[in-house]
Formats: sequence, structure tokens, C-alpha cells
Amino acid sequence: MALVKTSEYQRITKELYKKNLELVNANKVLTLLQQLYRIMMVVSTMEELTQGFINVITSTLKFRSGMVAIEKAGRQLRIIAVTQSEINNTASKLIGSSLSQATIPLHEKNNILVETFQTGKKRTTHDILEIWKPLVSQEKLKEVAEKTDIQSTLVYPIIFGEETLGIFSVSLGRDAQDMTRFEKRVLRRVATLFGIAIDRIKISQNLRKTNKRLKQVSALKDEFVSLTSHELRTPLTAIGGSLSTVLEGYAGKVGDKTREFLEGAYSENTRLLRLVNNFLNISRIEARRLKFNMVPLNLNKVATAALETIKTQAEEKKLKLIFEPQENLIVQADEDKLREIIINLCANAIKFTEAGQVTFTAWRQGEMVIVAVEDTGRGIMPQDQQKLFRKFEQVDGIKASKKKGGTGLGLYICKNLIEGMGGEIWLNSEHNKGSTFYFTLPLK
Amino acid sequence: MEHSYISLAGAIVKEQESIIGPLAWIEAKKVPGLKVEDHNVKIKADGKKVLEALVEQYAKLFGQASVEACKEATRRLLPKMKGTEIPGNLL
Repeated sequence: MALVKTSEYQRITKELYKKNLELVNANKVLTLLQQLYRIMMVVSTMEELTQGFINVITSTLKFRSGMVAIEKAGRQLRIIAVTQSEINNTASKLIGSSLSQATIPLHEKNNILVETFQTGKKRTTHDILEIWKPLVSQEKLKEVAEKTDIQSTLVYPIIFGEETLGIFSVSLGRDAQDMTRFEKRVLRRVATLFGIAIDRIKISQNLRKTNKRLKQVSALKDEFVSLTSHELRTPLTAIGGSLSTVLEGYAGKVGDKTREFLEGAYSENTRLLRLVNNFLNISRIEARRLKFNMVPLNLNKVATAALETIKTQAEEKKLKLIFEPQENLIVQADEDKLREIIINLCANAIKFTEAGQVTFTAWRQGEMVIVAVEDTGRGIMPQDQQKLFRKFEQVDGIKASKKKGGTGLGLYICKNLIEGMGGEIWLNSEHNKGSTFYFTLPLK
Repeated sequence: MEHSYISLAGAIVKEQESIIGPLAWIEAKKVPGLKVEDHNVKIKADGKKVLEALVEQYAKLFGQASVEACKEATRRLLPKMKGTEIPGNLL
């Protein structure tokens, strides 16, 4: 085995020492930065952030005091965080109010805080008059200067990107030249981190404001939709009732031409009423105001009544509407909402099927009933299936499609109604081979 | 004055400990006039000379980097002392 020469051994030892020293310093910096990051993660206001930062910096590096000021409205620097220290307390007393409320105009001359902010460069001073000049009279400051043991103050700009956001200062009981490399290194890193943290808080505050405003607007919109829908629904129902009465001949014989016009008006009125109902449902879903009157229901009865209302739509397209009741199924559901779901799914199937049939079936599976609406339409592409149950999406992936009419709200409403009754909805579909929508409901 | 030298010696050994571990205390024990007990130091001779010897003890083993570490460790404390009282290798 080769022996290591003593000189080589000494060289290696010294090198290892250097590496260790670098690691120790890096570790100290990291520990401090970690503390600052932790503060960054938990605070939500500018005041909490800057106070937390300056407290950690001054206590870790054993500085006499520290302070943070942020630019306000492009006209002044507002002091928002100060450490509890003799000099800051004295300055507060001299100002006659809390130091953290004080502002310094940006046009102030011979003030090192303003100068650092304007130039974006670090400044050092041995004269506290340069810091407090506009806030406290020179005579009073001289008294303070004589009493304090502060020898130097360093002021760093807080910069993020191209913008100077403010400044922070630290005061030392010794000359700034006696600062260790570690201290200088940390302060440089902290200045950068300060910029990131303050920018983050600003973004977060703006987001909160915007979010609050959006919530207010959204609440207003929901209220408007809800009110309008209610107001529209009543006259639409009355019109539908009257048209139906006339069409059934209760107001006298109806000629063929007149019947054609009246049926058109009735059909459009029904479509409008469904649209209004959809909006009303949406506003209830969004406001979480959906209420369910859950009672035992005969599924076959509800389905028969629901399918009766859309029978003409299928006939107009020469489609077979097949209903295959398997057994007497009693489900626990809200009758109006169940009818709405069946109408919605079957009307959709009719709308998107050009030839063939739409089949409604239901069967028992465990504690649930599975309902299926199958069509022979063009099917739905896999990438569109993901979007189906979102608001304003339609099966061909076209938002609020004008091609087929409708709002793209039907399946979103169905999903919410079904889930509200304890069931779930899904589909199987193959392009050009039709689609089957399934939903479940609890058995009584 | 002796109190200042004790503070300086303590700061130096603790700084070295953060870099090289318990070896810092073992080496400090080898310095004449420096008494080490339970991670505390006492000075039993001329403080200035003892401190110079302590810095030298680390320098012998670890070179100039260890002297810089000693300077860093004492930089905060030195302004309180007169220039003539400060050990030469800490200036």
C-alpha cells in the first residue's frame, strides 16, 4: 500500500477544512432563508411578512435594529415594519406616533431611505440624521444620536424584476466594514428574497380583491337569473296552458292552418319554458340552493309521463321511442327532478339521432336502479366525452352549439340533480354507433 | 480585559467546532495558557499571546482558511478593544 506523504496529507486536510467552511456558511445562509421562506408561506399581509422578515434578520445576525418601508402611490415611502429596539422606540416617541405609520415623501432630499429607493443601490451611513431627517427635528435627533450606540446603518433596495418596491435597513453597533462575509452574503440574499416575497403578497392581495369582486358579481348574476327566470316562468306556463286549451278544441273548432300556427307557437313556448327552467336550475345549483323532495316513486309511471311529453319530437324525426319497463321499480327520488332528467336525456338522444331509435330501459342492481337511455345516433368522440357534463358544452364539443340548438346546460343539470339524489351518471359511446347514458337511483 | 479575551477565545473555538466538530476542543486543549473545561475556556496566561497561539494552533493544521474563520468569528467583538490589545493574527 502506498504511503501518503505528510505534505500531501496536510494539503488534503487544509482542502477539506476549506470545503467544510464553505458548507458551514452555506448551511447558515440556508437556515436563515428557510426561516424566511416559512414566514413567506404562512403570512397573508404585507405587514406580517415584513415584520417577520426584519425580526428574523435582526435577531439572527444580532443587529441593533431594522426597518422596512414600502413605496406607496408613487409619492412616498411608508414605514410598515420596525423592530422593537431602543432607537426605534425613541424615534417613535419623538415622532409622537407609531413609527410604523410614518411616511417619507419621495421628493425628500438627503434622506438615505429615499436615496436608496430612488437609485436602487445599497447605501451605508454613520449618521442617523440621514434616516430620520424629515420625521424628527434635527435638534432632537442629535440628542438621540448621542445616546444610541448605533454606529452604522445599511439600507438595501427591495427590487423585483425591474421595479423597486421599497427598502429595508439594518443598524449595527459597529462599523459596516466590520461585517462578516457571511453577514454581507446573507443580506444580499435576503434583499432578493424580500423582493420575491413582497411581489407574491401583492399578487395574492390583488387576487383576493379580484376574487371578492367576482363573487359579488356572480352573486348578483345568480340573483338576477333566479328572479328573471321566476318572472318569465309564470307567464310562459300560462301561455302554454292557454295554447293547449285552444288546441284541444275547448275554445271552439280550430282550422288546419290555425292549428299549424298554434302548434308552432306551443312548441316554441315549451322550448322557451325548458330553457328558463334550465337557467333556474343552474342558479339553484350554483347557489347550492337545490332542494330535493325525496319520496318513493314508481319509475315506470314517471318515465311514461315524461316520455309522453317528447313523443312528438321523436315522431317528427321518424324515430322510434321505445320504453321497455322490466319490472315494477320503486325508487327514492324527487318526482319533478326525475321527470326533468328523463326528458333531458331522451330529448338529447332524439336531437342527436338522425335515424333509428331511442330506447329507455331500467333494471335493478343491488340497492340501486340503473336507468339507460340508448340511441342510434352518431356517437360521441372520446375526447368530447370528458367535457360532456360541464356547463355550456355539447356532445359535438361545440360550445353552446347553434347547430343543434340548446344551451349546453342539460347534462350539467342532470349530473347535479342525479348526484343530489344519491346517484351517478356516466355514458358509453362509440363513434357512429350511438351512445348510451346511464344513471343510478337508490331503491326505496 | 481578561473577560474580552475569554469571549474571543470562546467565539473562536465555537466557530471552529461548527466547521471541524469536537476536534476544535481537542486542539484548543493543546494551547498553553488556555484551560478547557466542559466546553468553556479560561485563560491562565497573557490573553493576547494565548489567543495568538490558539489561532496558530488551527492554522498549523488547517491553513489560512482557519485564520479567516477565526477573524470572522471575532469581528463583532473586536471593535470594543483597543488596536494594541488585539492579537496580530486577528487583524
